[in-house]
Amino acid sequence: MDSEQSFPQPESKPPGRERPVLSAKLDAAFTSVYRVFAFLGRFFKELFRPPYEFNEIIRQCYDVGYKSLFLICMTAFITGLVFTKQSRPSLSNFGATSWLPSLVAIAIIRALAPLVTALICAGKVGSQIGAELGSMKVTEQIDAMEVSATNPFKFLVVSRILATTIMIPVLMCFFAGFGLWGSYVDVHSNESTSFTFFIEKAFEKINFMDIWTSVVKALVYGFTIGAVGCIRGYNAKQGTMGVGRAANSAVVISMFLIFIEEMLIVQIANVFR
Amino acid sequence: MRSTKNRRAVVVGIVLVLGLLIFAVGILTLGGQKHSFSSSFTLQAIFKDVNGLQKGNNIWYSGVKVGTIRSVGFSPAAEVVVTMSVDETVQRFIHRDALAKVGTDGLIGNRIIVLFGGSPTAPLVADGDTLMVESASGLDGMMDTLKQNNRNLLAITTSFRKLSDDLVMGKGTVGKLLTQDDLANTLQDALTALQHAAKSAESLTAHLDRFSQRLSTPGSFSNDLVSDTLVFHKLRESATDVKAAAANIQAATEKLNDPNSPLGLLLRDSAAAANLRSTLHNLNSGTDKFDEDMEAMQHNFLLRGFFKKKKQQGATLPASK
Repeated sequence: MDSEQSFPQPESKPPGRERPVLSAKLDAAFTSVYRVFAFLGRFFKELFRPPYEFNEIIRQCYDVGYKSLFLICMTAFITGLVFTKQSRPSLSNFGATSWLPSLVAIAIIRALAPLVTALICAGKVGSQIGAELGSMKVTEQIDAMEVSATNPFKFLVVSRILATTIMIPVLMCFFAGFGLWGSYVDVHSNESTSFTFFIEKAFEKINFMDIWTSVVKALVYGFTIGAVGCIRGYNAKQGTMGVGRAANSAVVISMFLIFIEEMLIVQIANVFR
Repeated sequence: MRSTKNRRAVVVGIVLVLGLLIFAVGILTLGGQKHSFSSSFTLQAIFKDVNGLQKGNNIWYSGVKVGTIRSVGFSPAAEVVVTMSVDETVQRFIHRDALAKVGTDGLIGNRIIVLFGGSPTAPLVADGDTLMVESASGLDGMMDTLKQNNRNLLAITTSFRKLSDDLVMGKGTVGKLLTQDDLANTLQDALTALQHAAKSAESLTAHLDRFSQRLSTPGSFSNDLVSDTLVFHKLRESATDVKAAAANIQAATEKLNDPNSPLGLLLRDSAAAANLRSTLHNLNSGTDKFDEDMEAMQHNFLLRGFFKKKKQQGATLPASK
């Protein structure tokens, strides 16, 4: 079986007979790390190898992107509006409310758009992927696909990771647009600022590095959400309890990794600024 | 099933296009602001200190953003070489003798390069030109000014301290005033007198005010006197007439005093006066006698009829009325 060769499962060992390399727990931890990297390696191998599951990729893009669009846009609008409203008193103390568009644009484009989009999708999409693949795993549907000569990894995993990697940056653009719109609504209602002036002030302190950094962040977060959801779901065990655990851990781990990646990417981006 | 797949594909396509559209608008807006998509030319300026100027900071010319900083580096002479990317559309406004200085976008804003000056007679800048710079005051300059201000403030407070010490010690006029009671009492008396004078002046002013109000009351004599030009004209004419009458009286008096005139003679010559008195006495006596004669004539039988007839006519006239 191809899948078995590319994604080796831990060998079944006779209980109590084989001596651990380091210790039982450390061996298990390092084995998990190895399995994660093997999983990711197999993803990249399957990604470029035909046949390509375009229909499944589109279906996943539909689920990840379109079905999250309203939630993202609504959250973005409210975030922009509330952020502007909350920032106004501090700036008005200095008579600097004209800086609100710049402040909000920096916050949204540099940080909030990729981060909040990723967190929302980690909760909505990550749990969905984990639960979906987990239930398929524990009900042996994945095994059945293998038996029916369908590559379950390509069909289930590659399409989902690809969909999240593509759609999270797109959703991030929506978030940025609607966030700035929400901010504009508040600024316009208080300062009667024109839309042109708002956009001009908003992009005054933004540079291309900010935008490319955010796109890279969104790509990385999208990949992380898809990969974590798939890994946790694909390796789910112990029946329905395992499904719940897979869904829950997919959200928790992907959120944790998103924050770690945020910190790393910001540090790396600052080197290139 | 097929239609569902198509619908999904269309929806995903729309979402992708809209997302990319937002992204493209953002990129184009940013590019427009940073003049990334417009043709530009390069200018250089060499500073000793750029106070934290960074790549990407704005360039202003006459308060208008015309470009961005392309690079900030060091020259072999350890000076800071700032390379500026300036919008080509403003090239025809910047002359070679224009100056560059490091400024600030607002009080606490980013560092910027400000281009200013330049005479119209100088040739226009070309790609790669190096502009002269004006050393900006910067934070150090501000601190120096602040330090100088502190020194001045210290000197002022020292002077004030000496002044207050002198006041406490009773030195000088004000010090004496503060420390000596009799001087203070005298001053207080003077002030009281001044206060009374002020009250009197106030009362006087009130009276004057009332007088002026009366003067300005329409119809009053004083107002007419002040405002009616006709009365004044008439008064002037009357004065002229009085003056003429006085002249006549004076002439008459002079004639009376003249001993050659009949009245002057009468007034001055006592003998003539006595004769006149005697003449008047005789005239009076003659009049009495003539009266008696007339009485006698009424009783005369020749004229008695005439007088009786006249008397009857006088009695009938009141009865007819």
